Amino acid sequence: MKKLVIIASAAAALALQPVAFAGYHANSFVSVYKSSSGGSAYGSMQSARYYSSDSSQYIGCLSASDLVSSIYITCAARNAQNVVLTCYSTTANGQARQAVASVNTTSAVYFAADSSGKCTYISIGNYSYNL
Amino acid sequence: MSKLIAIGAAVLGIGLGAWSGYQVGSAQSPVSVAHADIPTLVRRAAGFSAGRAETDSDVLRALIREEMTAVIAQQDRRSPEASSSGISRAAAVSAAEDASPEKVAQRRAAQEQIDAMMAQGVWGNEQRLTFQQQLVVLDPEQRERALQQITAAINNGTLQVGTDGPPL
Repeated sequence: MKKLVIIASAAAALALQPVAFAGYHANSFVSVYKSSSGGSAYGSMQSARYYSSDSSQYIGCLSASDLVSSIYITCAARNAQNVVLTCYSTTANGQARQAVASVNTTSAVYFAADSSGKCTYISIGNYSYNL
Repeated sequence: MSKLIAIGAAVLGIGLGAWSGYQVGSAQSPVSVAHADIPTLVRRAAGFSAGRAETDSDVLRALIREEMTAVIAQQDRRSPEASSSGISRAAAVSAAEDASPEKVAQRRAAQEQIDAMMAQGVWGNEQRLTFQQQLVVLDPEQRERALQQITAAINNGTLQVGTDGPPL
């Protein structure tokens, strides 16, 4: 009986061991900045989804097409305080569309909008430290 | 022996005939046709034999320029407003083709529905879904306007976002 308890305790201890990560890691929680001329937002997928303690923040981009041409691209972000910023573009060039398409779990997204809501800048960084 | 002499004479005759024919043909000057309406593309270089020449690059350049101008003019005639506004040519053509009375009515209804949702001041999952459905009905200009309305309203806070996730 005593042996069984020891084995069970050891198994439980092993199971509860955190997975060891190596390498540099940096969090980029979603930040939203707004002004009268528009605004900008920044944040990484992993930080928003797995490292934040709130259930509010998110960030990402979307590309919509009617299968004939690209209709629009849009990016949106919400910070921990529930402040939302979004932008859109119906005339995005190939590089911008390619950037949006490259978003994945290693991505940190930055975008800027003018006062009419049009995207003026999109930057996607895919780095290991975002994981 | 006389047979051999006869054969030799015949061969000599044929040979002489062929040689004289060649000489007469080559003595004539080559035919040169001058077309006043065709620009001279090839300029004979002095001092070179007739087989060698250099291309007149100015004339060649002028011809290429002319062809390019014609092609660009043709494309602009097809869709002048699309090239200036940045809207894709395919979308502009598609919008023009689809301007049937039914389509116009559908677009008007879609625009009205979007306006009505905007007026409510709340943007939830239902509004987002409806907006996406209506957006594909609109023509490129209306779509641009609708996206601008919604985005600006969300960013300046006049539209309260209650979606599970992004507003668009």
